[in-house]
Amino acid sequence: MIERRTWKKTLRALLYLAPALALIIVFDVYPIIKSFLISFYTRYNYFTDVVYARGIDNYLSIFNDPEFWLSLRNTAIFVLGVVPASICLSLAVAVLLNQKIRFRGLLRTIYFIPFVTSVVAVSVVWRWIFHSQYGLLNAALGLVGISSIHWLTDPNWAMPALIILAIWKGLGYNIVIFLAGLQNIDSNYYRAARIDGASPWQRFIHITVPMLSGTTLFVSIIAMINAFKVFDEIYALFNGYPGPVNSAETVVYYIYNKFYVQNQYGIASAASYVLFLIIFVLTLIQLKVGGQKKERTRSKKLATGGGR
Amino acid sequence: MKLTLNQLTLRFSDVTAVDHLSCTVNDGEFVSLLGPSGCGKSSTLFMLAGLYQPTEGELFFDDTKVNTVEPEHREIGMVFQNYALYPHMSVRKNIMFPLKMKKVSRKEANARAVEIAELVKIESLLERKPAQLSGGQQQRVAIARALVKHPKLLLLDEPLSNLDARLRINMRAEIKRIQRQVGITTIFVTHDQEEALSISDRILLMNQGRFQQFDHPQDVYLHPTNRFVAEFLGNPPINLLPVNFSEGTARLVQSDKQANSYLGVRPEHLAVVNDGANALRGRSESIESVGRDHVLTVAIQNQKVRILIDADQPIKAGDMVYVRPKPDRAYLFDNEGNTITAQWNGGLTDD
Repeated sequence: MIERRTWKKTLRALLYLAPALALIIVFDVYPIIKSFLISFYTRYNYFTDVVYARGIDNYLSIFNDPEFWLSLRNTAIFVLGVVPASICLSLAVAVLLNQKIRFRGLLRTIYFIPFVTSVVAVSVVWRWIFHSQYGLLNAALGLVGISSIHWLTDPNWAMPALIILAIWKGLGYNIVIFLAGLQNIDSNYYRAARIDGASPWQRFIHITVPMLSGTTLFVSIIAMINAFKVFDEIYALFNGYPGPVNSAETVVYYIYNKFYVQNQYGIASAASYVLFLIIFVLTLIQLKVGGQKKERTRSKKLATGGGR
Repeated sequence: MKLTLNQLTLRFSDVTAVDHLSCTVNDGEFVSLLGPSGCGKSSTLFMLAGLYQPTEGELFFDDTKVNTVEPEHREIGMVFQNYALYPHMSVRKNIMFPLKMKKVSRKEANARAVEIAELVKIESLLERKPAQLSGGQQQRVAIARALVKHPKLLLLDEPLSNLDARLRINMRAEIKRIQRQVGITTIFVTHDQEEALSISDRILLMNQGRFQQFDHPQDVYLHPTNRFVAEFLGNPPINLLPVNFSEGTARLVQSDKQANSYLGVRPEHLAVVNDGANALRGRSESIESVGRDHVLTVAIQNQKVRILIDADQPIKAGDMVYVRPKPDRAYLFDNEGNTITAQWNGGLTDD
């Protein structure tokens, strides 16, 4: 049944949407616009909301700030450290959990727990795990003859520690998405591949990976965006400061620092928009690269009249 | 390759899908596995493929026992009901896939793929993706992929059930042609009797996991070993009349309770005759014409029989007629459904 679009119906729909819409506008849309404007305020009275001068000084100043570049560099290392490893690991675990094994439901729950627990709570646990003298991790490394590492106090090891925590934290969510993707693959493809002589590894490479490409694209975009936004983990893991000699200071931490600690609202806003642009461009690239294959088949299909 | 099944049994937790099945399929033979849904024919095929492991019994490829050999090492080709073409690969890549798995060089693999594509007549479609093909074309690709590695055994799991009626008859002939040309031992699973009767060298009939009959199509049709086989084959279905059989004469009775056996006669083996000797008297009820077939329904006491008649036979609804079966084309089954081998001289009466 096709209903006609009328003003009456539109107004009624808007009425139902109003509560959610109001919240989104007040707490999301308005701040997004306002912070964009603030990023161009160069002289501004915070209490009276009077702007004396506008310009691009905020952007110039962050690009001249070595701390901003450091935070960008740290963020890049973090993203590169977390996203590929997290995708590979969660895909491997998802494939294992998709087998016919005992305690499958229990194992799936266990892997999902990190995702639903509070970042602050797990960070406290991880601070203990990373403890240089009494930590579990160093104890385990000690068993294989590796001397203790100052995970949280050595500037060279703070970022790896943060990356380990982030990978562990994000695993559960990615696994659930991958499991859903795996269950969408018709088991007949695996049967056909076995008959065609494909070993388990060949079935993984030639059937699972290509047929999961859509899921992998989704997971990688979400994981990348999440990695760029990392903040809570740092704050909790290093007890309110961004690691030894700022070695774990990321862009969001930089923004937080400028906004809440130094009250430089314009600079914080400008940095936010630089971060937004980076994420936006990278997501577009991912969509372009990931979507290319599908696009090619689709256009070919149109050209040939679709076959069927 | 010769195929031997010896007391092959497959049990899932509480159901027996295949129950002590034994038979031998000769090299190069085309055998149909026929039966109603859930009769165990697909389970049998999956055991031949190695996708299911038999619970009991033995399976031999030539003289090698293959019970525990994995599908990837069985050297078989299989066409699935939904074809299971890899959607992300072109037709060429699909066909080359089994060779790629065997580490055949790319050049040789391509040459063999083109050769087999010509055999199944899809050489112009090699660069397409499976989604861009019609059902019949997908079917051909699936057959090409199954045959390209020169397997010893070809397994077909209801390959025609997703095609429309006309295409089905076409592909039936095509499958037969390809099989003849390649000379490969083939097992074809179907629930469609017409398909099985037209395509096979021999038909293996199954019901509820059990062996029923394994014979040439005409023999299965004309010499059914039991009532199930007789009832399953034939359209319109065989007429079954409750009778009391003694001293060479079958006497029609009113109900199943009084019957010690059943007389089965196919509609084309009943004739309308003028005299009452060894015949049953009844009233003609209706004549139904489906294409070239004219089916007369006759009520004999409280039983109804269907008879295939010639169009020019002057019979109207309401006429009283005599109906006589061909003695060598009528079958007697006991209450368990087994064929009674005792001599029947055609003696038949309805009082």
